Amino acid sequence: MSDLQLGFELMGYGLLGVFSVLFLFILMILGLTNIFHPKNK
Amino acid sequence: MDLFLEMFSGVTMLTWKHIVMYLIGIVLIYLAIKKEYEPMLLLPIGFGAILVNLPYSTVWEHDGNVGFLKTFYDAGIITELFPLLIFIAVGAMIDFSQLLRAPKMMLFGAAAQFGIFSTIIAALLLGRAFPSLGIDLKVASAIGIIGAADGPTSIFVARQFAEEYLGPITVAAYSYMSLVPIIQPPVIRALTTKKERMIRMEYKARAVSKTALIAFPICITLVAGIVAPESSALIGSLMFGNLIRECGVVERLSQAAQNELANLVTLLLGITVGGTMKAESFLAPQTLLILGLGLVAFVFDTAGGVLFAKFLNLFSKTKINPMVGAAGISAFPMSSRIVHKMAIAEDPTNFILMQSVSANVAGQLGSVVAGGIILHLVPILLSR
Repeated sequence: MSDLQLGFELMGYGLLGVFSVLFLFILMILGLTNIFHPKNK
Repeated sequence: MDLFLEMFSGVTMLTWKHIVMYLIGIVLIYLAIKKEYEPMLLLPIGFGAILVNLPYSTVWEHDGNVGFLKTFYDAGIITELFPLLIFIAVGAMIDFSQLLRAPKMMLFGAAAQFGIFSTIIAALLLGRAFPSLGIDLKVASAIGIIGAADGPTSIFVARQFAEEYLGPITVAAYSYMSLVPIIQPPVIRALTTKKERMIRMEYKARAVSKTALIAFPICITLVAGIVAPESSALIGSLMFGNLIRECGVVERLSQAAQNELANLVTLLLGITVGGTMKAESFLAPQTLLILGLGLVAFVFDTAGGVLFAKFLNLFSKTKINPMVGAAGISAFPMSSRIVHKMAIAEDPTNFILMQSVSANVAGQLGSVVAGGIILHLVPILLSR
């Protein structure tokens, strides 16, 4: 496989990976802010 | 007489390449002092570039002995210690509370990483057109990471994938970061209408407790470390710095990280990177290519964020000001300030600073995650 083809694969999987991880972060933040909500104190 | 000439043989050893490097060093110092473009880094980089290109310079290697800049290089760059220490300092400086109040802004931190990957493709296309440049996937990835708009991540990835281009990649990353106020506005204007730039965004801040702020760096480290292990050093350093900031019981450590550690490592990092700019390797077509592609990376980053916001607007009831997408890059806080200023210029009563800051802080995380994913994926792709 040529470097250019590998580059496109890297782009596809890379962007998918970044969005997936940051989406996980969003879920984690929503969980954290609900569990440790100021009103719960 | 011969002894006299030998005493000053440095003069006869000067070449045009040395002179060019002195000029480059002076330009960097000028930009740092006069224009205040990232002075903390460009000034030591410029001076280091002059220092290492002196004939018979003893700062790198001489007669088989290791000079002081090479010692810094081996200790801080080869071991990746300097970028990681910088990240501890950066983590201690960043307030993630805005992001916790508006977590959906995290998506812009991902979208703005588009510049990294599109620049990798651009570099590979150029490599295919000019095979003599020797651009393979690793070199292209190291160049593309300039689009992370994040100096330490750029150094970290370049060190692993293209050590020979560390100097130009670092100079490009920091120079363009300082030029964000010049690069971003025309790209934003070209991709948005005046009506879009005037979109008002309601700011509904979620309440965030101190406990959530403390748990945040720990949970981010766990999640990122488990799903993207290659990012664990980068994100772990960033989050460790943030934890000592937020926990509230080690104020002295937090202050030391934000001040003494940041200043000292920045100083050493700058002059060491300058020390890598030897005329023989720096004055090559690849350097011009890296500087050009670095600019492309920042343009694509901005475009990626803006276009993603416009894409979301197709489905969303509450419209997003597309300029906020441009703040999803890692250049903090410059990018969010620019977006805020542009919004005020269109409508003096439209305040989108909070949303921009959230996106900008998300960009910090996005760039580190992107760096980790690239470090993880490239060897896998090449081994297949």
